[in-house]
Amino acid sequence: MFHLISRVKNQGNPKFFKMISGEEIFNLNIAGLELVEYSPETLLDDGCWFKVSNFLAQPYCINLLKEPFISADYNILPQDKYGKIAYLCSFQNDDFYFQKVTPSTYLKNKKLLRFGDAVTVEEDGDRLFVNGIPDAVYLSETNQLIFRNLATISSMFKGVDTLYKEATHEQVEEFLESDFIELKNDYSAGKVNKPNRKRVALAMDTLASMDDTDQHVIFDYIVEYCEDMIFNTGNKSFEIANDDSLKNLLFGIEQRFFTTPVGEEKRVANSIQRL
Amino acid sequence: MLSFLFRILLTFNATSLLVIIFLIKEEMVLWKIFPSLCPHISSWPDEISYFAYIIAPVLLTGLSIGLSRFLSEDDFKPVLIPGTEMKESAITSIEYANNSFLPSYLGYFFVALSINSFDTLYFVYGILFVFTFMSQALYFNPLFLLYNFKFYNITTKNGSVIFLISRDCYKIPKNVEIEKVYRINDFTYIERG
Repeated sequence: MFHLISRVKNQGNPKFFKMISGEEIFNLNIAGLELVEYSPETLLDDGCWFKVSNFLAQPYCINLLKEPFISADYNILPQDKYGKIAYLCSFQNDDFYFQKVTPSTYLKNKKLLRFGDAVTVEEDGDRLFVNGIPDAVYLSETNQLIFRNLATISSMFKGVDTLYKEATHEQVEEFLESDFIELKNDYSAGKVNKPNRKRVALAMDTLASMDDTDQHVIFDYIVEYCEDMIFNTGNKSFEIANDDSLKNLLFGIEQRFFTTPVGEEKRVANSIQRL
Repeated sequence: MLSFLFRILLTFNATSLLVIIFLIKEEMVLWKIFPSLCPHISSWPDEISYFAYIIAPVLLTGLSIGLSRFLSEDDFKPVLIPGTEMKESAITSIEYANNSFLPSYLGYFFVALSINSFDTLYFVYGILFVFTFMSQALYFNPLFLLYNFKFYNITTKNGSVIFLISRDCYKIPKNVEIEKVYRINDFTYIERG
């Protein structure tokens, strides 16, 4: 049987309440999806979802998934908590489908046009808009959490955003103070855009695993691919004056540049997946 | 609103015994209560009135069993143990509870037999009704037995204790596998069977 439960905000215990049973809320053909392990370096194509494997063992896994699901363990959602729903969780064939509830999906006393035999106006009562496609699904059989947008699910799975490494202001400053960077044009940590912050966090990890020889190989590699980049051979540093030049440097550190074997066309990988 | 009326009905069924015992004790037959309605049956034996008093909550209990199909549904099917491919029974213990309501029902008898006036009855019944309604625990009434229902205390795998009303004869927890139960309240479920 299908069961729909909800997590209520600012609630002591219990946190989950039962809403209804017997209705299939979400309809998603999971077999038709292509799943790729989550990586901040990967951009998703249509029909492609991120997965986090061995999800039960992850620190951000919620207790709900760690115990057997028995709908009778959950009290019925009382009326005074309707407006406090944080997210929905639909239990369907042993899988858990999650949808975050946002002010835009919770319609409070809005007028709705209803197209029946004639057009009528409905305006009494609150309504919750259910998206056909859930924000995340926990697949019990394979112990995977699948989702498309990490930012959307981070409020449901506290701590899952640690997967998405975005450098703090201090880390960006530390990175920009590296010997191989020479800042120009008053460019500073405060001006670094969000995608680059993410890349800085990744690049710092990559650099930490490289020795000096590796780093020099990388610098030559960047110079080879990025003709716009100004490299001072004297102090072995790149001039970084804007987000674009920083992006090139970061892509270089991640070795995103490559040449096609046939045609020898120079390319950059906007999104990568490890083979 | 519907569930509120349903709970009123269940509370009435569960507590009506008090009023019936009082009416019988006072020999308060139907035609004494409604003299104008039934002048021609005043010669009938008193037992007919008493039978009518008893049959009313029995029929209302039947009605409440019928209405329970509109309640929220749940199931007690084997559950998947997280991280494995094993399915185990959702129930870890089951305890026959048919006799557990007897003390409270005997209580009703003694209270009803010691009430002396209608005024006292109104107050005592009023208090009993409100507390039964609020507690939501004494919904079970022995009239369910007439419909072949049995009472069980069951414990789920996650430890919650639930009161189950069912026609089936359960003994072993792992044999309890129920497609559909109806939720009377968060602690009381009925399998209509």
